[in-house]
Amino acid sequence: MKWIKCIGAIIATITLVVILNSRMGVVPALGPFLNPVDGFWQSAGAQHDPGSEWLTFPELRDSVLVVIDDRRVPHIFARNNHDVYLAQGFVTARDRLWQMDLQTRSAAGTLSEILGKQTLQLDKTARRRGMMFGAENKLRMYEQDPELMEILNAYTTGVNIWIDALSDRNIPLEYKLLGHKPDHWVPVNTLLMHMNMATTLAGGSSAVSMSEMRQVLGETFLDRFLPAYPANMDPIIPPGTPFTQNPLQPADVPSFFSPSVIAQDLYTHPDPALGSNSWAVDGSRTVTGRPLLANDMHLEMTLPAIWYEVQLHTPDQNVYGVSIPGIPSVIVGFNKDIAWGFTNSGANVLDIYEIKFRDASFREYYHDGEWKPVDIKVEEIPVRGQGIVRDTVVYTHHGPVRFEFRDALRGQASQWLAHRGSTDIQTFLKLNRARSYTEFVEAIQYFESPAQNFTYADRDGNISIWNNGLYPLRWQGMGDFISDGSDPAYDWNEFVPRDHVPHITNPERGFVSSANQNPTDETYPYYLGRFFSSYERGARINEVLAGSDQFDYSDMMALQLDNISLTARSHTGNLLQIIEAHDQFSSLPDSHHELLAILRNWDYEMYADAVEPVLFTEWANQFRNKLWSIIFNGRVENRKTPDMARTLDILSDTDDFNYLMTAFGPATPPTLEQLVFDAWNDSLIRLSQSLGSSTENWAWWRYQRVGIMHLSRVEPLSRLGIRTSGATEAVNSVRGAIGPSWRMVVSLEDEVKAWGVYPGGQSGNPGNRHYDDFIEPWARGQFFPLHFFPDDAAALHWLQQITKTEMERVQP
Amino acid sequence: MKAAFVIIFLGSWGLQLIFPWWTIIIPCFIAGLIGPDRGYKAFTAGMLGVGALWLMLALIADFRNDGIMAAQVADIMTVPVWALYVITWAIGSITGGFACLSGYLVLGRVR
Repeated sequence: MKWIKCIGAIIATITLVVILNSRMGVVPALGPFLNPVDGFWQSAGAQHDPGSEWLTFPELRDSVLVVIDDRRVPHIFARNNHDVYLAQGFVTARDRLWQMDLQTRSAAGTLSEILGKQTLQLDKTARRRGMMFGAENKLRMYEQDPELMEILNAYTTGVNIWIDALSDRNIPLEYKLLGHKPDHWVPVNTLLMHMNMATTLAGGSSAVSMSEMRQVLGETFLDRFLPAYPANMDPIIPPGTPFTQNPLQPADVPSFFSPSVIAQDLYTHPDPALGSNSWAVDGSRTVTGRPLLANDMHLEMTLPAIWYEVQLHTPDQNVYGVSIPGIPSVIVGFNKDIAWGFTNSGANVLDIYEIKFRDASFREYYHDGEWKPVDIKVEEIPVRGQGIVRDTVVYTHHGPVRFEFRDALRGQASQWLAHRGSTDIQTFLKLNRARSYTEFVEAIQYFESPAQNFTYADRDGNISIWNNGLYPLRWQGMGDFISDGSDPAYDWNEFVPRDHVPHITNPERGFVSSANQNPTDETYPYYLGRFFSSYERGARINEVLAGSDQFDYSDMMALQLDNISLTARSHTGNLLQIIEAHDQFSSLPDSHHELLAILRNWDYEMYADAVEPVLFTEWANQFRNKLWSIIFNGRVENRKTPDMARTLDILSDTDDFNYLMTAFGPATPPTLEQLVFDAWNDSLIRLSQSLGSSTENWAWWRYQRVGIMHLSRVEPLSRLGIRTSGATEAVNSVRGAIGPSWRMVVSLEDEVKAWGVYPGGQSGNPGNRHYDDFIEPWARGQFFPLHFFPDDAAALHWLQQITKTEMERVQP
Repeated sequence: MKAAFVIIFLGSWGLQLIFPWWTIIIPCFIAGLIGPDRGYKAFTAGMLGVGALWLMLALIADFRNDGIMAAQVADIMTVPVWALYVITWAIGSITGGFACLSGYLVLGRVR
């Protein structure tokens, strides 16, 4: 009996330990996760900044001073370039390691190694997009430049010093939740981060949908409703600006290619909401007589944020701005002489080719009159708990085959500029050190993809904008549809010479600006692609900038926060006029008339608490859905819906409406009045369902659902339901998960002054008070003055002052 | 009982600084061998020793962190923060209790 008790107790103890040590699906093993010695309790850490620290790792050549300011921004003072990037890698990893790990895994297609088969499809897609292919092509180019490679290696060393300093006790919370450990950082990871940016900003294509729409709806429809040069566009380069007289000539336009397979369109379409604003104002229009530069990039807002603020100081540079965790240098920012900003170009740099294979082995494909061999890459994807999954990917000279249509002996390959070996980070390294316009122009030559509008301003009073990147030389329309992989007319042979890309310096109108719209009008001699952002933000920025010659920095902030919707300003009146003309208008219930009256007196501001933006936007959305659903015969797949601006233009153009209904409408088509009337009624039903029947709850911010998800998609680590103004089409462009990911204003006076804010926080640690401390100020439209220290002594002096005031506050 | 508590409290602390959490069963087992004269006392010693240690360490970590992380994790686990303490305490103390009881019972067999 005693034996039984004894063995029973021992078995109970062991069983407990085993159970508490096992992970159950998404639930982490409770013992390791909850025990207070190395569980989550220890991932929190103390809250002890601001402060300063001397880094003295043996890998450093000299000692490095890091001053952490009151917003946890590291200011790194090093005596050479090796050390500054090593320290940048170290401090960035200390705050953002798990994010860097997850994002490189996402690019490399190794998510399933930690997350299991739920992410297998994502991994396969990443591999077939050629993410690692591109990153490795780039790495080979860096390896040929010892100076660049030294920087990548130093950054890598810095990250790994932090990883090696971690133990089971203090690894970030996310590792403990997901039950994995950080691997060592390798230089190719930096280039995978670059591939991620290229994917977000220049990795989409509408070619498949466009090909099907051309077949079903015809070219006239596309030219009219999805035009390459929209009628109301206010391009980046003012119309009338002369372009090069000696452009390169592309190949002759081939006869139209009809692909033999148009399958379901699984490509990401370029996302018009992923836009940005950037402008620079000449001294002639500012109070100080010196230029002002502003930039806000609209990207997916996540926790941890895509950006990490940092100041880098060495004998040959002193630069402040935002960096991307995983990439050495400051990406967007300023130094003591210049400031620069970005908006995405939207030029097409990803073409989809139909490939004709010789036989079912898919080992040879047809091109330029002969059968050519493919390259084979066997992708091995480790899957947690399941071993290795293999995927054989076929590469043509265009690029990797993304989709295979075995029965038809066809495939779809994508040629993507991001696959090219290029040393784009060179641009940031040089911008960080640039002191003049000449050095700026020299720096941006290295940047190939994702092409950006580089806005520039300097203390000498120059302003400039370059729609800059490597652009394949295209004939008109090339790449808009599925390309013929066998015809050399579709090959990328030559590129637009860099001095021919759209650019303008010190223009007469006294400002340069971009909001992802078309870079030029039709007089520009090169074809860059069909899908740029619609006109609203760009036109509003230009309207405001042309309106004064007494700007100061606060006007720049106000413009970044401008909530006027040009869509609403142009079309609310039309909608109201049309619904009033409907014969049942007067029989609408009183509640409807009250809402319509509110809309009639609207100032078109997309304020967080207002009801008008809700009414207008839902009404316009309903109209847009109804109209195109009729024209597309209810089909959603493989359709690219014309944007809101083009759709609402139809309200005031009876020719458009008649053309659509005659060519594609039902036998007895609805009238425009009926569509608008039905859209109004349906919008109110819809709003009652989503926001509740009481119109008091119909506040714009509730409709917008602005939220910032943690990268793991774990909701308690996310910040959802943020009350903020703005709209996709407003300069303050925000909706859902997408919004201004970094707002920056720089005044290029003798001593450069700058302000900035991003929706997030410097620390990636959910247990740190700097995890989300910028979100509230960001939502309220506040900016932080940025501490740009001339040298280490100034930084230490500032630190002394602030700790003194802190002490006084604690002990009065 | 007092000796058992001290062995468990200090032994678990020391071991856990270097080894995984479950090595707390070793000092608990040893304490069971030398201390208590009754089974329930052994179990209680294990529970109190590890439980007190874990509560203390969790409180220190939480205090140093201004309670931010515990609040986040409690949210993830959809429990209030006090429950997080209870669960943490329970895991340690029940494991410790059984380990100490095992030691006591093994001793009873050998004697």
